[in-house]
Amino acid sequence: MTGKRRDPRAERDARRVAGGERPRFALTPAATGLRRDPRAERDRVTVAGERRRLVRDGAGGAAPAPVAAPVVRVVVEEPAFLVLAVPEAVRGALSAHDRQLLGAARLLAEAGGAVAVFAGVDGPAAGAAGADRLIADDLTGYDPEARAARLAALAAQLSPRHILLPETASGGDLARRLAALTGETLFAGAERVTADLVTRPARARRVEQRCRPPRLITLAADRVPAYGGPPREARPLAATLPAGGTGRFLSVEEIAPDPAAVPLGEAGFVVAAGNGVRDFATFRALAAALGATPGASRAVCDAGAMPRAAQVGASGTVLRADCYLAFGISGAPQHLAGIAATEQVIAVNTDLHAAMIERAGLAIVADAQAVMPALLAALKREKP
Amino acid sequence: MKITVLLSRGIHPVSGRACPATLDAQAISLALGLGVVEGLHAGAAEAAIADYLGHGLPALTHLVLPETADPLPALTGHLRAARQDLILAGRQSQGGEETGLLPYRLAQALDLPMVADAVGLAIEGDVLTVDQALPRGARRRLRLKLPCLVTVHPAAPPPLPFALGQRRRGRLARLEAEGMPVVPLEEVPYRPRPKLMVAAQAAERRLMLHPSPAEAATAILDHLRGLGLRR
Repeated sequence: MTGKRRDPRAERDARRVAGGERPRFALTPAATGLRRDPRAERDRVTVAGERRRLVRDGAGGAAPAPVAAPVVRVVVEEPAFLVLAVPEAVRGALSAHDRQLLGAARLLAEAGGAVAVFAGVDGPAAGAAGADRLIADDLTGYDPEARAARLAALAAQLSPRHILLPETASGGDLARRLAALTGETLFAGAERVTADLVTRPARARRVEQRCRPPRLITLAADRVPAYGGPPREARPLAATLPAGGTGRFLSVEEIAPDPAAVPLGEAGFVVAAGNGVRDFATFRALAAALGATPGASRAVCDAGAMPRAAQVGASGTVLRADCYLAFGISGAPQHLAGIAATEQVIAVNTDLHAAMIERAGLAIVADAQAVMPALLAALKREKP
Repeated sequence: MKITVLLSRGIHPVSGRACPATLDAQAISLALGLGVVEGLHAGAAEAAIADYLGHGLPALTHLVLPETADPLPALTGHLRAARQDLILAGRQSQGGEETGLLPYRLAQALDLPMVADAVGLAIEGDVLTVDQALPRGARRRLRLKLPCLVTVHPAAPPPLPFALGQRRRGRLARLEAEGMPVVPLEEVPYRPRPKLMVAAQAAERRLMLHPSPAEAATAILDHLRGLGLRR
């Protein structure tokens, strides 16, 4: 942080002596402020404790006792209107896109409205993301028609001013089913949302359609920031919804992905090899045992040890994975660009000062070539 | 087994000219092994539509509409008369409104069940098995009674290569149809806006200096277990 900028003219004016024909300026130490008080200066940067510490960034002095700020929840008692947000909430957790959806709903509800969330999430999580009301969704299993019918019934009861859904596979499907069921128009894939205007691309992204926010909107990913204000109430709201499914499907079977066949850009867990890996048979066996998609650095792909499709980084694939385990990768900037969105990084590298070690949540300074067989053996012990 | 594949005019990603849409060509290759396949397009007269014949489609019906008309009434009328067992479609049109709403409105108008994002199809008697693509490479296998409407996912098998002989042998029927005029929204030239930056940083960091391989392996497994990636 830079210091306060001096204003020499103001300083000189402060030293001006009043009266007299000619301007006079006092030059005493008290007036000029040129005399230093080293003891006071030292006290200002000293932190008391077992050993006295000097802190130069201005955080010194008598450390004030940390006061826990009281959590004030924002309460909207009588909303003028409702904005209904229907996040995906896979397994009860709000994704980044879901939070952005609630952020957009908050923008639309700015003029005295309240955000109502229809999802199977718990209250505090929904409140922190910006929900004023919460309608619990207890429908389990895959039945999109029943889901759309429930949402239509809920919309008829609450008559919200806007209904927002994420433009994802299941969210977009639900929004279109609702639009077809109720005969409403759908503003699909909104890229800009304000209280007065929404825009979306059309005609092969050559034009931008714009209008006042209609009733039914789906929101594109990474366009509107998530709600960042104080937590809100998320008051439970009762609604009578039609129960039971439509029974359209004779059977529904979830098939887990084969990690080795998943495209790298779609994979959730990636194990990657760099120049520190020489034994690629063990590496592939380890990736299969961990249930992860194998990836590699540019150097390894250039050498032909892994296929080009496995390359992670700016010139390969940019990952959207949740977890990334790097063996023997030092972390060139182009490689780190490929894992910028990955939250959890584990790195095994011999170089303490490698960029990948700096980036990782769990950084292990060791030889990847030795750790891989040990990890494989530990996995075999776990699940013989 | 009578199958109709709904075809839309595609936009070439580089030249911007009209061409067959990849997803619709993938729908043709999904349908070809299952029964008698017919293509159906409702829209303005364009030469690119006939190129679908080159991707293995034996016959194609073109309902000729004015340029900006809504094709839903024409499609509904034609399909209600044809009584098809299975209707396949891409996700959304290209070069128009691009809302992806048409298959849903069509299924609603024909009172058919609708399944989105198919990557594989199989028919046994009057039961259709659909492999549906989910995020992260997962799949969902659904079984339902025919007739129904299915949209195709980009992860479906690639389209058959274009063959000029096939395109010339294919039968193309043109029918005049009535379209419903659409009231378009206000449009301005597209202005790309930057996406939000999604940069994730690990909340807490842990550094292990020269552990034994066994210690390192245990630490990695414990960490993965904490993240819910291992039981």
